Amino acid sequence: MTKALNEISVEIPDGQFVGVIGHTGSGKSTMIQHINALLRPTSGTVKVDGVDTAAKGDEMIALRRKVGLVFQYPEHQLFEETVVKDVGFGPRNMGLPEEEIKRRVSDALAQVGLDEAGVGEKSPFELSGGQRRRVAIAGVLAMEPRILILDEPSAGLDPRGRREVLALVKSIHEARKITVMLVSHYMDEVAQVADRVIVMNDGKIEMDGTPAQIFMRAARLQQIGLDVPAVVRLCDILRARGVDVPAEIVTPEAFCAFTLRAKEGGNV
Amino acid sequence: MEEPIVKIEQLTYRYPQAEGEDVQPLALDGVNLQVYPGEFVAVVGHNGSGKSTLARQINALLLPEAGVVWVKGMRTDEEENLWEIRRTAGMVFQNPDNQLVANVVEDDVAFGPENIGVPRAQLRVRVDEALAAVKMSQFADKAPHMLSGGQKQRVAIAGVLALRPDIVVMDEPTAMLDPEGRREVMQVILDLKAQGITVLLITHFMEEAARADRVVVIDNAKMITQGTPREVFRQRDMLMACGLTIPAINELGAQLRQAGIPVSEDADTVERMADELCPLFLKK
Amino acid sequence: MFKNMTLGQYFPGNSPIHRLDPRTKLLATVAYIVLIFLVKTFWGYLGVLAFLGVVVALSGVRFGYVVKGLKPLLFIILFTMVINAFFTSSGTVYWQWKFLSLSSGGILLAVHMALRLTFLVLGTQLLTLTTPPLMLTDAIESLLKPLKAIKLPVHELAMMMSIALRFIPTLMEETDKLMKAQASRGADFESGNLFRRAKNMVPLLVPLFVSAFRRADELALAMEARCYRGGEGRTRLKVLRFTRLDAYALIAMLVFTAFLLVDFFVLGK
Repeated sequence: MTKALNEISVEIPDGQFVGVIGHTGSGKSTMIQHINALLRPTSGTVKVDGVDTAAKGDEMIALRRKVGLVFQYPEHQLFEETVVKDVGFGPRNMGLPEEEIKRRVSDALAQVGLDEAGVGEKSPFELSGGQRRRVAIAGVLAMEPRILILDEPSAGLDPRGRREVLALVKSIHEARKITVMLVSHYMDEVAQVADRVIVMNDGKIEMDGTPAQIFMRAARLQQIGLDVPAVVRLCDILRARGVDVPAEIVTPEAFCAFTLRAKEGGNV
Repeated sequence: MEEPIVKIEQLTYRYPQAEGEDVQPLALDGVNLQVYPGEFVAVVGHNGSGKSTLARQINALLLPEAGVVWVKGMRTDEEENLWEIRRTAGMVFQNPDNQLVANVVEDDVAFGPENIGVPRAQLRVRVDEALAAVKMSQFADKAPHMLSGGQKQRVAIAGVLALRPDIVVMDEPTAMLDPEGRREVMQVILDLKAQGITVLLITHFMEEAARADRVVVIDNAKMITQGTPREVFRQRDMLMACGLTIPAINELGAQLRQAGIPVSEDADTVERMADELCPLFLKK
Repeated sequence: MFKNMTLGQYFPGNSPIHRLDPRTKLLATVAYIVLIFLVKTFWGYLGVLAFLGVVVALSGVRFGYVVKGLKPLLFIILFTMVINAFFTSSGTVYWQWKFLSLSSGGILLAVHMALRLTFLVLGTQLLTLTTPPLMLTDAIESLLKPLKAIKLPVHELAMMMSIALRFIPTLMEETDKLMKAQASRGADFESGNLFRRAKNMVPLLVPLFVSAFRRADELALAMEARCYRGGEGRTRLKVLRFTRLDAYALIAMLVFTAFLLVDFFVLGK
């Protein structure tokens, strides 16, 4: 057997927004499944909020409730007759009282921008693709996890859908003050929202730092098969030609501001 | 002027209404489009804009409610043309898993030509050629579920090429792939174009549309505009209103121009942008 | 969880057994199944074992791999043994309670059934281990062809079988993913009584059905787009052909049959 993950060590503080990027087979999906105890390490330990994921019974159940996992194409896991019932599936499994389930379902639907009065009693299968994905995300949110992990939440959506889902994830992080891990193939998406980026390659952590720090190594990112945003590639070329471009410039807006400063200041 | 290989005139279509439901809105509304031999045309639009419906009309999987679709001079609504139209206009779908029929790659590629009764001696030749065209020859005896998404999609393209089509219509072939898979499929598309095969690519990735000869924008069942990538990407606000974007480098160019930095529209690659900006930074 | 199943799986190779015409293998397997139930004596079983041993050795499939296929069926074999042992009463009766009894005849029958089932599984497994599923469906289609005359949709049946086989790995992967997704939402597939467990499967089965239908829909469209219109006028890339190898196999099979007939009529007397 080859190792999907090879002796990785990482600590994620409470409340951080972490982006995890890597190509298919880099180990990123394997890593996040360890945090939810869906997978257990062959060697080494994983601790979530101080609890070892090797825990069994009630302790394991408590741990799983702390970690909400949104899989790729989560709309495929919807099964209940109505949106409200489906979102309530997680809280119901937790054995919460009916009142509390209701509150959580309403909160979660409001958070993902769905109108409970409008879609709550509809079948999830009647909704559009984008709405179904929101329902699925609400289903995880309703468990009120301390850590929210999303695997490619924007996969398969068109540009507007991608923007909306990304904004949604960001708003969840801000409103709930929880730890968020966003797994993606796309560096530019992650860079827009994450405080910290972990780059996985070959079952190992290849880089770990702020988006700006990661982007300084554009050549290496491309070498391991990751797409690098156009602005970052441009900065890379300009640096090679002797222009002193600061590391934190990763968006078109920042690049424009920098160019204007350079223009007004005459020389750089 | 050369005869178009696909000619669409005033095409209107709506999906049949389900029992107890309201009449469906128009999925296509008076669309006109011509595709010429050897062209690479990209059709962009948000999910639900009607672009997939358009693709299915070209392969006669759907027939017009009003208007006419001609493929290589054949009307799609004339029953006797059906099989020749499907052979002429090959179709690749979005989900790489749900379009492979056989358990072995080469058997899957043979499926199309087997259906139209190509003699056995020729089948082998066609399968080998098609697999070579998408660089999948070494996977001929593998099972599809052992392949990556990009590889599966290349097999699907080979399955269409084995029918020796005049035009390949691809309905969001990269939407479910990772960046690596998208690059692979894009490379195959460019190879096809180089061999003179006409390609109609449905997509919502603007970086892919940027490689096409012509970009067609569909929104709310209507064709909004068409032109070279540069002509279309110039209309940034219109594209945003359609739920789309423009490629990142064009976006940067637009923002720089807005800020009063003189970069030209020619700067539509990172390298060209660097060439134009460098003197600005380094002038004494 | 599905990765440990060898039953029904193909073990790639290029052995003489792999190279046999699948029709030969299919017919031989059918003959083998019938013959197994004729075996009467210890010598007969020894003969079957030797025959199987030779075929496995020729096929290049590891012995351990073949034996592993018995595992999921162990329960059924044991169950059959118990039923036969306790519900048959013949020969010397050792113990009896109401309609349950333990007798020499019953025990003998139980041992016979266990041996037959074991050999049955081992033998039929060799067929699937050495034949790609698609070849198998081709063989079935070819062998059933005469039944077209009585309007049996032979081609359609074979096509359905091969597509089902094609999608097994895809659906297994999907099931695995869905189980993980629902487990993350607190679903419990493991505890509770039978009724409760069945009810707990709903969050798994509904999405699985929905997805299977979606796949079927898309596949049908893709097949149509590639000019599929039934078996009429189709040519085939791979045509089944009997070779000298098949002749050898046929002779071997005849010898085996003769041996078991001797066992049945002479030794078994």
